[in-house]
Amino acid sequence: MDNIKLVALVGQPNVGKTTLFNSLTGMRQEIGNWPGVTVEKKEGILNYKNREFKVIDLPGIYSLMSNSIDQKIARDFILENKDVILVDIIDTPNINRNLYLTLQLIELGKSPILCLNLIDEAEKYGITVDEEKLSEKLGGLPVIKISGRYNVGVDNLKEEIYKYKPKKPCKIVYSKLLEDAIEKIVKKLEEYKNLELSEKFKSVPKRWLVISLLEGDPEILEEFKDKKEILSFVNNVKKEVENKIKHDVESYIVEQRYAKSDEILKGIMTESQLHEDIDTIILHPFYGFVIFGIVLYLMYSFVFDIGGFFSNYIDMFFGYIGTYLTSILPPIYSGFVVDGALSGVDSVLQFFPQIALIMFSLAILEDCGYLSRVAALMNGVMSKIGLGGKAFIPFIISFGCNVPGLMATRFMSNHKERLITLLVAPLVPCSARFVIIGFMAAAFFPKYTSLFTLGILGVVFGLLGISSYILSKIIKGKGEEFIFELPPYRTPDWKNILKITWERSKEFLKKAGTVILAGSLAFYWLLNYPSTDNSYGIVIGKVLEHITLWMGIDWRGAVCLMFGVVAKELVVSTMNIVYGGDVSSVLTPLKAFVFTLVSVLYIPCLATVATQYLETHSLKWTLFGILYNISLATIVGIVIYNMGKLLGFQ
Amino acid sequence: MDNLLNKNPGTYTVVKINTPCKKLYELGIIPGSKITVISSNKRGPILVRIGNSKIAIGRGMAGAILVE
Repeated sequence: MDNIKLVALVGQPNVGKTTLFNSLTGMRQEIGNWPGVTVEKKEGILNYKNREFKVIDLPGIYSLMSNSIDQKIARDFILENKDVILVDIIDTPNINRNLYLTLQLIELGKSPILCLNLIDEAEKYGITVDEEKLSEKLGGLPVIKISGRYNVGVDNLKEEIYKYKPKKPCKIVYSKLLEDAIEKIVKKLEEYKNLELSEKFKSVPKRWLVISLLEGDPEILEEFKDKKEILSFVNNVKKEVENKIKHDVESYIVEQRYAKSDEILKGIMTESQLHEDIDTIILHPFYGFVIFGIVLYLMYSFVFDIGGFFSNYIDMFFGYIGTYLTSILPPIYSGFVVDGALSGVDSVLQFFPQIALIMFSLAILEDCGYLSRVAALMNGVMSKIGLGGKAFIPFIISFGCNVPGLMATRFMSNHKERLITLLVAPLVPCSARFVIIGFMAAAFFPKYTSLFTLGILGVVFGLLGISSYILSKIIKGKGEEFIFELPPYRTPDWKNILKITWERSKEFLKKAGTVILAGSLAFYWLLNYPSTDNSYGIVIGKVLEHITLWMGIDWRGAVCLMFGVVAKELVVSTMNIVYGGDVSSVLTPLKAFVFTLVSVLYIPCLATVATQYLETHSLKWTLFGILYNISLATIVGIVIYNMGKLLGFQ
Repeated sequence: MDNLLNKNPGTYTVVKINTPCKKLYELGIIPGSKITVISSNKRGPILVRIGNSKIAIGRGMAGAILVE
């Protein structure tokens, strides 16, 4: 099949785009990232009447302005793929606001297929729209009533896509004042034979360029930056208009577009208001946190209790296979296969139940609308470290295990905040690191275990806050402004939830599995060759000693830390081996404190690093993550050790 | 005329917006639009309704929206 037609779903956030995407494409989907950013890109194939269409789910956007990364991605896609069939999905209860985007698409010279989605919800509340008249008023664009969730009208949509022919879009006419201004500038542009615009803007309507100039669209202003004459002409026209309306043109155009939406809907829609005000409690500054605490507790016990149950069985299963393989394989191979490969795969698969369950719980919370409430609730706290409210969830999950914690960043929509969270969440001490903390506390500070733990946690969270704050200043891009829509509460769409759960967890199996497998083999080799008593690992440990001695850790400690890279629990078991079983007589309390701190802070385990790579899709950021963790641990270790010595501790 | 932070639950008309944030416009908060405050506490975000959508607004941003 050559010449497959492209179909793109475009619409505002929370309009049920994903559900519709699923009904169109079934299970044949591919999930990746848009080039260069951590924004999810979904593609699927629609088969209808023996024809194939490639369907792309564009990010949810409120308008076509290039002022946010999602909007720029969607707009670039529409500009670069001129023949794409656009399906504009509209949240029927909010149709007047949704038409805003439709009007912009029409202005861009597109003739989208309109889907009045969530028609079930609308009709339940007594909102009706006359789709034939709406189509008439929009110059004959196809308009279909649809409910992705109940599979109403989906076949009509497929049929419309199948027989789609681009139409000449109708002209959206605004007030005389604005129209005169637009016309003046269009004439000015027409004086130029060649505007020397970038490729993607070459065939857009002049009228659209002019409106974008008047609206102050960042990308279009950049495009015209060297055309001083045009810009000053536009500014003069702008000033003329502003003198008459007494406020800025940007908001005037927005007002005009909304007025136009209202005008189009007049007489063809009966309005009604939805009411449900449970949010006064859910977002209450006191009760809201109590409810959130309960939800988190339930989720946490669900995920880690049930997950732990399965993990045990997985571990047992691998144990049996390992014993069996050891008994039948020649010893030369059995080391590599059993202690290297098999135990590596085991360590990944043990995470799998937790990951699947966490994705499942989060998908439910997201689908029913609670997740956006959490974001609103936690925003105040998180904004102090340069992040938004949604980042709170990955942090909380990371306490159990960093891997599902990082995966949970998929539910964050802002790519800058997601990247920062991916980089700092590995600092959150996971259950494996609590094993180290607990062991050291019991061995060295039996009387002060909780104080010791609190001390370590205090330092770690301080560093987490500081790094997150600094990263939020360094990394380019805008943080999310704190204003967002709270979608109505909906009963979960189980089909969609299971799908999300599977999609998000299977990738972990596939990719992290391969990285872990390779890593485990490499570490096995390092620590066992040429011989266990004199391995390359010990050699490296002795080299590392030059640095680690600055923080009071000798080569044996360094070897423990190296093992910890595979899985942090290994630090403890390795310590027992290299220090000959009696740790407390070898290390001083100060050294023990520093050692614990360093093992909590330095490079997260292999599985986490693999996930970091999988989620950022960037070797650069993964390496950065590793390096800054190591440097952080080194610096903090050296500083605290030497401060402790100055204060008279041993 | 007063900003949203000082308003009790009830319906108001937006008069002026003192922030360049485009997101407000995109969510339909423009001069002249009706806005209903659902809840506002001493801390935390302000909840409002515009048309049929519910929106949470941070305190800083809410202070920039003048209504009457």
